[in-house]
Amino acid sequence: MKHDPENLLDLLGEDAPSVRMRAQLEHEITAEKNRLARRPVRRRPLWATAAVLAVAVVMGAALWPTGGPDQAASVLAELAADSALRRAQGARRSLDEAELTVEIRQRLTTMLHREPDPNVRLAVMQALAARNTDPTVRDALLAAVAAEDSPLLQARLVLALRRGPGELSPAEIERLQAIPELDEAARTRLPRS
Amino acid sequence: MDQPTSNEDLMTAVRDGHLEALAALFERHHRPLFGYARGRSGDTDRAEDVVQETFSRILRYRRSYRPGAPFVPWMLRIARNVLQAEGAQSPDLALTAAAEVKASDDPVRDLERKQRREQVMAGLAELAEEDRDLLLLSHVQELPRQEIAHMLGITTNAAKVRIHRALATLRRQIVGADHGEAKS
Repeated sequence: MKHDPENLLDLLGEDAPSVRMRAQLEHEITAEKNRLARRPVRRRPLWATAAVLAVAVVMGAALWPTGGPDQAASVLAELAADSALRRAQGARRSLDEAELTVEIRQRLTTMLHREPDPNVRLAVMQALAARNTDPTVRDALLAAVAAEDSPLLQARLVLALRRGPGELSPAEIERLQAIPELDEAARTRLPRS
Repeated sequence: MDQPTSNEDLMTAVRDGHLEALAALFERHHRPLFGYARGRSGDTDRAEDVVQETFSRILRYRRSYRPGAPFVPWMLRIARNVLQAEGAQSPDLALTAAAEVKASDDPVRDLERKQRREQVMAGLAELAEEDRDLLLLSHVQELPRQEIAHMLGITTNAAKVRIHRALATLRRQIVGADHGEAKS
């Protein structure tokens, strides 16, 4: 039994980071639903449109974050909280914003360099990577790769840059490859230019 | 008592726009898929990315699913494409070990299991890539031999024989590692 690989292979599925993966999937499902909801629809009778809108408004109010200035302010408050968990939650909640306000964006990019807790930094990286088509955000993420002192987070950051909506250009890949302190684990995750 | 909804029914629902059904599929399959990706890549961090990217692609390409087609092989084809796109990189056990440092109620038991897992991953890394794939598909994903054979383009008999041999090789490697440890 001790050496039975059939049983030992079961160990591979242990410790799956289920909570983090589930949260990410839920975020993607919500984003896709929002995208579908924004899509133009075929013309339908006025009464049907009114009924759908009424149901959507009631369900939306019950289920989803309200967004807008209040939401932005509460995200900012969370990002400035003493508790690392609340800061990470703030970073995650920023993903619910249709667009980042200048203040949230600035706060997140500053946290990329100054946040002491690596788990919060990871949440910030993920939040910013989802907006990596914004040139300011993109530049901050690229700069953070060189500044990041945790090899694990460096590798995660490279992966986050690869997986965001904007693809790494050959010039950006070269910029990253030229970082002398780039850890080998992060280097192997770079696409070939 | 209600019959549990099949994977195929859930995926058909996702395809038809009931996106929340994907959460149920995730609950059922993310652990074995994580084990499969971890065994293939030898890297816990990368395995997480493979699982997330696989489910992202299922969501994005949901309309390419043919209703009624077996879900698990379809999901695994996507996962294998993701693994391939990530590049055939050698297992990175140092990163895996560092990533697994965590607090626990029973650290001794956890350390024992971690050591065992590392032995399995080291053993898997020594196998030929296709043999590693065969073992993971059969013993982590628990796919029927016939399905594995179809996926890899070999006969069912060939799949059975190669899985048997790969298991024997893995067993020898694990026993060898234990003996090496006992001597040192």
